Amino acid sequence: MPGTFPAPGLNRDVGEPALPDDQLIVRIAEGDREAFAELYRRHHAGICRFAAHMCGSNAAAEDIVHEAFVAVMDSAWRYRPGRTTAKLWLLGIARNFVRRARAVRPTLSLHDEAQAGAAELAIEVDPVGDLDRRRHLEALRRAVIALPVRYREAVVLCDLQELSYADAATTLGCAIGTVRSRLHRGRALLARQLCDRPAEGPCHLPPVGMSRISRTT
Amino acid sequence: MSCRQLKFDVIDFARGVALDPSREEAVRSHLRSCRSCGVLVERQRAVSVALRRLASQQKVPALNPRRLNRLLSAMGGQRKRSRRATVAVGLSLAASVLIVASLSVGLQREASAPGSSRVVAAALAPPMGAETAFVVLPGADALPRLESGRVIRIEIPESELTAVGLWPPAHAGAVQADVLVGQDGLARAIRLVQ
Repeated sequence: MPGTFPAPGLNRDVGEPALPDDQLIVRIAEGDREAFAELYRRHHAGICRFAAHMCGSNAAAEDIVHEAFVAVMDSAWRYRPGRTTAKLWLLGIARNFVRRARAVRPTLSLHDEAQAGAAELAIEVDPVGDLDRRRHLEALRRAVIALPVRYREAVVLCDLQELSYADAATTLGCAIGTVRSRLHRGRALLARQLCDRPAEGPCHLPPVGMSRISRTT
Repeated sequence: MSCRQLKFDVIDFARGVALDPSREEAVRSHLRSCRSCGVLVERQRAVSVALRRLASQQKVPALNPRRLNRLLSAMGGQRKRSRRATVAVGLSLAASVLIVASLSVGLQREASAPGSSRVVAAALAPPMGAETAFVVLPGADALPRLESGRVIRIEIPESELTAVGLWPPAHAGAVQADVLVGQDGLARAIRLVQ
């Protein structure tokens, strides 16, 4: 029935193993709506998190997820299992839409969103009122969003999405060495942004001891 | 090993990425003797802690069934539309190829017409009596078509004339020449004033 939300499980019998993502995409290419719904359920959160980190806005992230899945309908037949994984393929599609969205609205930020009265910031309010911690997190979030896009992609994929260098390289379509170099540069910019600007208050990085470096040995 | 050689390994070490034992030992031994890399590791560890905190605090909007339903209802139409779009793209590509082909045939004919640049140059600056015919400057044929232009009289050392395809009068030192400058400010042709 058109326009209905298929129940989870792809009409499988109880106990039947879930179809792998690759097969879902093959079915989507054949027009299988349930396969599409299943893929959406599996990857919505991951893609949305990536887009939110990249754009700094949950509303924009939801739009990007929507556009990415529209693109999945169109290009599912192009997907080649084995060349990449469904997760990385979807991240690559989302990345294209993030870049396009930034070209249209280059100043997206959580601040804009808050001022526009849109969805609330994705920072959990600390129950004991730890304002400092929230301030530091907000400063970090702003610093991540302020990174040039190529460095931000590396930081978001490797540090926030915890992809390996190889997976990040597949998603970004570049060499592993490029990812490492961009990550290095991005993290150095973050550290500088958060610590080397006395005019903007104290260092926003949490204190970390040197105990793990065995200087004395 | 130098800081430069270990740059990426030091960052990996700070990020908690598993290095192979020999690399890890190299990093540890370097850190014992290099204060600036020690500071770098400390700072990068702090960045890692902060980023982990940020990742764990990031809330994403819950799956919205209405959005999914909208996508699902678009799914059938999308497939038909995408086939139509493929045909449309194919047709417009074919049309573009035809246009480009006919334009290039036209340009080739124009370029192969004998003395076409000279004809335009002559029309723009008819000889006043004491000038030679215009000679197209080297490479000027590749410039955009000459639509309009003006003639500028200059004095040019005779040694430069051969470079532009003119044969100077013997021992003239410097000679006067007219340069035809196109609408785009680029010189197209030159003639000697005798």
